Amino acid sequence: MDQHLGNFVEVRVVTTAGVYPEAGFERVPENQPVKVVLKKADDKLHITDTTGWIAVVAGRKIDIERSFHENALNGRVEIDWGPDHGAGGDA
Amino acid sequence: MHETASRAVFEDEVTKFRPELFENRGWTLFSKEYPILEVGFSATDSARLRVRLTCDDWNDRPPSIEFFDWEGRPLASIERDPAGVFNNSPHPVTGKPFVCMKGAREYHTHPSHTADAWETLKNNAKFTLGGILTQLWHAWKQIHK
Repeated sequence: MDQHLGNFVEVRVVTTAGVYPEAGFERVPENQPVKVVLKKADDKLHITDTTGWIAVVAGRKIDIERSFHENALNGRVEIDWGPDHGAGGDA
Repeated sequence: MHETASRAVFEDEVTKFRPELFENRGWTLFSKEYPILEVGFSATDSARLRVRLTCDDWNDRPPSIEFFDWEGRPLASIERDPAGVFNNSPHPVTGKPFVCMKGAREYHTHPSHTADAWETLKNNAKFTLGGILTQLWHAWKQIHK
């Protein structure tokens, strides 16, 4: 996240179902909500239900309803996208 | 499920695990040879854990999950996490510490949870092999940032 890209960020979404985009990074406006690129990743990687999933960047959970800028993200951004920890069963 | 079909589903899932995933999460791949998926978790505080998913009959049955140290020795006890996913009490069937979370065979065979049918979960993206591993990793990261 150390490059200067004007009003854009370069994004890659990493999941256990694959990586979006297939190669490199996607350039998106920094004021775009994070969920937009996640939806594109879901569609491309055939991920059908992301209820309970979380997006993490460099160990920090981000708010996917807010933009990259609002999440204080810039430059190159790798989003780890996957289900949050399960609930213990009290067995 | 016939072994050939089970193997095909297993391999279809694990071949989607890309190098970027392991690099980004600090995961180490020990095995993805059917029916064993074994991954090591590493944290910035130097903590490490190996988890082995035995996926025979995948995905008609959830994987059986065991814990090992980095050298591959079985762990007699595990650290508890805030969510209670890692359970140190002996499982009634295996006698070992176990994963008390939907998606683990030991959860669904535990007398307290036999009403939670795996059948209703297995087609959800949270309960692919990668989804189950990710849930475990996030639980472990609650202990080791």
